[in-house]
Amino acid sequence: MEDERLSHGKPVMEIKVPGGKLVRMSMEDGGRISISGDFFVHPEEGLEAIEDALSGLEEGDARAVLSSLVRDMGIQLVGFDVDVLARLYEGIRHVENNWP
Amino acid sequence: MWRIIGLETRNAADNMAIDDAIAECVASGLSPPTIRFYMWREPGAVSIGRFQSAADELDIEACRRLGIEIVRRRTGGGAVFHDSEITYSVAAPEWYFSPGIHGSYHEICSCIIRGLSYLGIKADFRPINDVIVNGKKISGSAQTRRNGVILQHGTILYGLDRQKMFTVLRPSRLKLSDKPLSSFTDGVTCVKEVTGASIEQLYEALLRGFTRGKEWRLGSPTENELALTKAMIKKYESGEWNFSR
Repeated sequence: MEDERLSHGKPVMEIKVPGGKLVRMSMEDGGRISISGDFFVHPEEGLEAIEDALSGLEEGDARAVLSSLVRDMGIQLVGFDVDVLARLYEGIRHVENNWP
Repeated sequence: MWRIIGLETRNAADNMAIDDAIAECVASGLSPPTIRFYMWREPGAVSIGRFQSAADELDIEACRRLGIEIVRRRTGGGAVFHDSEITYSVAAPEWYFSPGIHGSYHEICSCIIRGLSYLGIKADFRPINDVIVNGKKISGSAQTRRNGVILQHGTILYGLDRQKMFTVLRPSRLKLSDKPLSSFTDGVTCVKEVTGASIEQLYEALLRGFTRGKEWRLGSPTENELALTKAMIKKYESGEWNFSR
């Protein structure tokens, strides 16, 4: 189940993974990507690395970038996966580009 | 040998800091594997998961009005209203448990299920991290790992003030999308609703459930742990940590 919208002028998208967790992604001022939700990431610092990678992504395949990052840093995602993050990233880019 | 720290009541920042301090001391070999049982000072508290946004998950104004403390946990997972319940924490080397995150959740949650069975309650594990009774959540847990140590804490609901709970908590309705529920209030239950046991009996049952098959002794936090707790409390009291997302 997905929901995408503008919230306080910011593009926001949420996905509830069936049998998993809720993941919310928003684009803050300056294009900074923020991810929140009731999921688990081990180690915790892995989430900031993911946010940094997506915030700095100008062009390219978010799925491939995230897959490499997660593999190289040994990040474990519990309750969601790289595909969910990539869909969220594409979703908020879509909101940013299409909403008035 | 396991150390059990018996049921105690502290404020929100203290509870999170002491769990953190115990896990650090277990990791450095200064403390034995530990199970702690605790409650939260009245009128209760809300803990949010490591990656949640307080503004998205809570009615912060309602928390302030009701005097309910807000604290961010070191562990992931969802927001919890700590009111009439018993919280546990387990801090122990990873190799004490089944390999893998899912296996260790199941293993620790099995202690809760066993404890509830002593009260005549049939409970089941619902992956990833819940215990359910009659299809409704009665317990949730959250785990993190650092320096070879698992820290898992969780709550077992004894009583339930649904109106207050969902005044304070504002979960996204998307969370209902994979459950056969029309509202969050339908999805939770508590010990008091399914048995006449007292909260003291619940504690005794949980103590038995967690310690069965283990060598253990009752203990208290060490001087090292208390010193580390004191240093960590500031973090758990700070807006910088609690409202960092």
